[in-house]
Amino acid sequence: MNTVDTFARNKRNKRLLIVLVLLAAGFYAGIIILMGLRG
Amino acid sequence: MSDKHSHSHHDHDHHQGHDHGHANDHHDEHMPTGLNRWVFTTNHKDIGTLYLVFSLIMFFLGGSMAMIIRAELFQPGLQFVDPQFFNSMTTVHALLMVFGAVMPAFVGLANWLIPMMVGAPDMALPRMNNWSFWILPFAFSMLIITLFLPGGAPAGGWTLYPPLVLQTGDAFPFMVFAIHLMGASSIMGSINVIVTIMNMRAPGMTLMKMPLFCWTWLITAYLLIAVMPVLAGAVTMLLTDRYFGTSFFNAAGGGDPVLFQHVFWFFGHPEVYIMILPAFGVVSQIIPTFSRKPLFGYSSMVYATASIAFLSFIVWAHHMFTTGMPIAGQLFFMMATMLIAIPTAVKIFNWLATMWKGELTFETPMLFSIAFVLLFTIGGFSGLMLAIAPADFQYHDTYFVVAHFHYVLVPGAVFAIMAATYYWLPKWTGNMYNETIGKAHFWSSLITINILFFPQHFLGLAGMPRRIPDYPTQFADFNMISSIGAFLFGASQLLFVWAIFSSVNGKQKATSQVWDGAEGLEWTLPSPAPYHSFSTPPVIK
Repeated sequence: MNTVDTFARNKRNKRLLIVLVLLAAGFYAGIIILMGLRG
Repeated sequence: MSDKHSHSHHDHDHHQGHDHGHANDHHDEHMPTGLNRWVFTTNHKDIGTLYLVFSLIMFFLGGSMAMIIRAELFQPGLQFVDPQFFNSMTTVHALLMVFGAVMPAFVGLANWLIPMMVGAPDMALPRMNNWSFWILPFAFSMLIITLFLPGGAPAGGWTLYPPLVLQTGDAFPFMVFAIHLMGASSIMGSINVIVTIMNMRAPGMTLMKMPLFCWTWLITAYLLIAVMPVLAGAVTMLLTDRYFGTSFFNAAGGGDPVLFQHVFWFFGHPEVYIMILPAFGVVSQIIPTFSRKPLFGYSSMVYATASIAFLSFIVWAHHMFTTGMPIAGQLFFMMATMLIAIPTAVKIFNWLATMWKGELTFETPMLFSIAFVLLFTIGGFSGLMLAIAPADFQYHDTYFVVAHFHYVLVPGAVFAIMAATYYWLPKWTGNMYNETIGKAHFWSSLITINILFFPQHFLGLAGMPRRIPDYPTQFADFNMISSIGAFLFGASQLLFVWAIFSSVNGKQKATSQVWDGAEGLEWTLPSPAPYHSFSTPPVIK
């Protein structure tokens, strides 16, 4: 197993990755929904 | 999360990673060669190099467009290009420089430096790291080929205001998709920075012991995650307005074009701090080294960076004073904007206090850093002038604005990137660069950048609008001076490439410390830095 695989198995990294991706996705959907609701 | 808490976890993970890592360190030394090394790389140094080289290419491409702009503006009248193409040049120049040159350069520096600075073997998410880089060449190819499409490249300005931008020809969806890809790349890059800094620090490396470059990048990464999706949302809404019959920004359908400006600048203003905060980090590393003193006011630097980041979210409408806004709105955005001067001044004074009574020497990185402090401050002051709502009615959309943001971005962000390149180049290549060429590059850049941009203040104050290919004869003299400065500045950048090659092919080997005043984990590694930085995590006391 190389360094990259070791990293890929790191649960804390994976958890933070998922949280941050969801955050970004939330901002993306959020701004469109907010602007859509405005009218 | 408290530091103590994060550390107990952290140590555990790190040692685990280390045990595995050790067994196959030798395996990793068999790295692929040739093209495969670069296409499939998951190594932070290789990816950092890819980002930096890509950024340099975009810098020259965007720069050549600037040369076309300045050639056309050399004299009044239409000389070389038609107005539509001129507008494409201003638009694509801006998009290439912002998203292709400045941002990838800082992501490249983050890739190279953050793992070394926090004592990690690599970035936390190496495969995603590869992906976030390799998206970029496709994104920018897509943007650049629009120059050859019917209707030409986007020409509505990088701010993409509707309804003008909706008149773009076939290039429109290409531009929107390119911006989506650039945004995805930036978001993945920032996630990697955050995860690396939060989870991969060496034992004892508490947050408040991190080098300032890591701090400024951590804060920048959060800014990116907050605002890149907003830009993506804005261009998505433009796309649906044009092709799917929505009316987000279409007044005829009940929408509002000014709404776009609010959404765009909610992204756009933090974006300018995204481009300058890592520059602050770079300068905060370099000035202490060549002053042979620790950075003055470390914690105030961290808090100032965080304050600037917070304020960047509540000032966006200062770009829109002339759209018609209630007086209370104007006052709020004016005052909030002026508040930014406080944490920024904290930084400037801290750098000056670091130099005060230091044992200064003036190698190329230090020269660029001092020029950064002086010239960025000029850009900051003209920013304060623009923040004054009643005065902005005169300055708005004039060359004064062009002078302002170029002072912030070129002798600001770009000089910091150059300072960083000279500072860490010996660590990257293992050889010193040629100091004579470096200094020639610095002085020629310093003089010509002021010839290029300082007269633009006068043009703006006299009323010359931005984004025009022709102008009345009253503006002729300063435009000619500015264009001469531009050609000379462009030519000076060839010295930068020469200096970089002088290090790549250098004869004088660099020591691991490189600069006698340098402090930080990256200087404990040999030069050139080994392929995997810290397979054994260093312990920070």
